Amino acid sequence: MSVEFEPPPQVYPRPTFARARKLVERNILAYRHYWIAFTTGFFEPIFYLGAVGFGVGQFVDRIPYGGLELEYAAFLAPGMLASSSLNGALFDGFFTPFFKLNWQKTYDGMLTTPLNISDIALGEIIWAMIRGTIYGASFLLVMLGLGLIRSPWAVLALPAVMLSGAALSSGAMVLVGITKEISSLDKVMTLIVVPMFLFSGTFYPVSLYPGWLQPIVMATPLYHSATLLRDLTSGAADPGTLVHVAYLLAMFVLAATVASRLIRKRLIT
Amino acid sequence: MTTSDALISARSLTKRFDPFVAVDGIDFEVRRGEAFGFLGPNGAGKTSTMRMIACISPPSGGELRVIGMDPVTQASEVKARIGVVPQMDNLDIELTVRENLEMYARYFDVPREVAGPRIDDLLDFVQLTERSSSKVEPLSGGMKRRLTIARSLINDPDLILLDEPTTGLDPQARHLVWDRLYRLKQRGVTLVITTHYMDEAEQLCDRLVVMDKAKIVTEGSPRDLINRYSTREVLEVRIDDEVREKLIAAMQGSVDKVESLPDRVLLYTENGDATLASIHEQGFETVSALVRRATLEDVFLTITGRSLVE
Ligand SMILES: Nc1ncnc2c1ncn2[C@@H]1O[C@H](COP(=O)(O)OP(=O)(O)O)[C@@H](O)[C@H]1O
Ligand SMILES: [Mg+2]
Repeated sequence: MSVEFEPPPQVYPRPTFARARKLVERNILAYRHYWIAFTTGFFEPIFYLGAVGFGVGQFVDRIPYGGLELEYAAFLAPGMLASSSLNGALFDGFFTPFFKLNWQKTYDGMLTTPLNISDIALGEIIWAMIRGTIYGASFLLVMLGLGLIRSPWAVLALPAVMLSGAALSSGAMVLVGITKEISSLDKVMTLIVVPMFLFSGTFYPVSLYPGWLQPIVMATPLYHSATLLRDLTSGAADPGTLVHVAYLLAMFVLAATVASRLIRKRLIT
Repeated sequence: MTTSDALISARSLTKRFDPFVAVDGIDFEVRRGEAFGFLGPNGAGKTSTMRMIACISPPSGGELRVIGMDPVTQASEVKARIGVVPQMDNLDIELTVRENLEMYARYFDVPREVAGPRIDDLLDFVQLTERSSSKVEPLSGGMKRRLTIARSLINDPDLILLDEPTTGLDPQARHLVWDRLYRLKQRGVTLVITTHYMDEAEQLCDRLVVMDKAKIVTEGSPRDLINRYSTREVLEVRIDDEVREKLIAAMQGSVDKVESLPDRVLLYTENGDATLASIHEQGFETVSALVRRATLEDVFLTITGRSLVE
């Protein structure tokens, strides 16, 4: 007998927070064994702030920003704050999920439980966001201590760091969905992460670029994240700031959905 | 059989990896409380079938019900009630032995007060209590397999799927796993086991299907199948190549069947000793001879003309 049935329609179960939360619990448990590795992402932006902000900053005039005149360290600090959420996204939105997917087969095991792909993707994004937010929160304290926070708007900086973490981590999970080879790790670092870190208005204003290059830089998520945070900590926030919020929100929803689809293709065969 | 006691039922179940067909329209039912086997060589389609039952691979065609539900649209609900021991271990290597079980208890929403004592029992059951705070990587293959079995029991499942539970283990480790599976069977847990070891299928399965090249070629209890496809005894002789064909020709009429394998000749007969005596009477010199009971290997050989493990 060879009756052909129509294949069932593809259904993509929606993630639930209750299930996605289990990934966060798992990662907390795992990081108890690797807590030193966890602290590394905290120092990097602080080193940059010290070396570039206070060192190079000695030779830099005040930078005009949104009608304000910022000394260089106050300009740079929110850029480094944005990059702490990038660190969270990079470590636990990209590297560890890459290994869990391709080497450790951790997700294959989880999939035999009530967790679905979308729960796993969302859970990892939330965790990477939490990691970036922990770095961001401690960096904000450093900024406060150094007098680099100039406006009460800065109370919104922490939620903004979370939003930035959610957007960047979702983007990172998309990369997890399209990379298989160990050599991809290098490519992602040199072609995406490092250029974005250096050139997205993190170290100097985007207005220094020639006109044709500006829109390209302004399309990167780190530009929106750095600018949003700079608006908030310097006090230059205006209605235009909401554009950055909208960009990051849209990126989170879109990239998280795309990431789930891509990873589903890799795991469900 | 009424479908109400079927824990799994499949009709014309098909899995395609275009254009390749890995499972080609198979039908089977697994009843509550039985140990059901898929016996077949590598590439037969066993894992593909198991993955469809486990809701991690959507069928390309046919019908599949698992615990009365649809494994595609009700994946989370089905998965909540089954335990899975995959062909390749996928333990969480960043966690300890005990933490692996603790996390899986969380994934399955096992209440904490239930999970603690259950984990103690399971560690004891698979004899890993001493290793509970060890990381996963230093464990031996057999220990990892046992931990995976414990993990599959964490949600007190109605049904356990075991894909080649002992492949790659040494004999001692195998026997320990068999013993644990046998105890689960005694407790009335429904087991679905795939294997390419006929002794595993014979020891553990109440009923089995033989799979080959994406299809089910026969089904029944191990005894049934042996009675149906083989004689009671098998005489295996090794003999010099020059007289091999002569022996086969000489015995063709006097035994049920003769199979010529690369290294030996199998003679299917009700009385192996008598057959061996008659071979010697006819003047054949055998290098070695062994009379044994027929096995599922013989069943597979009879049906497909090939042996299970190449
Ligand atoms: N994801 C896949 N893509 C393509 N072919 C596959 C995939 N999974 C399995 N197959 C093929 O399907 C056939 C059956 O495989 P499998 O179900 O693993 O058999 P078994 O478990 O009996 O050894 C094999 O030929 C295998 O190569
Ligand atoms: Mg297999």
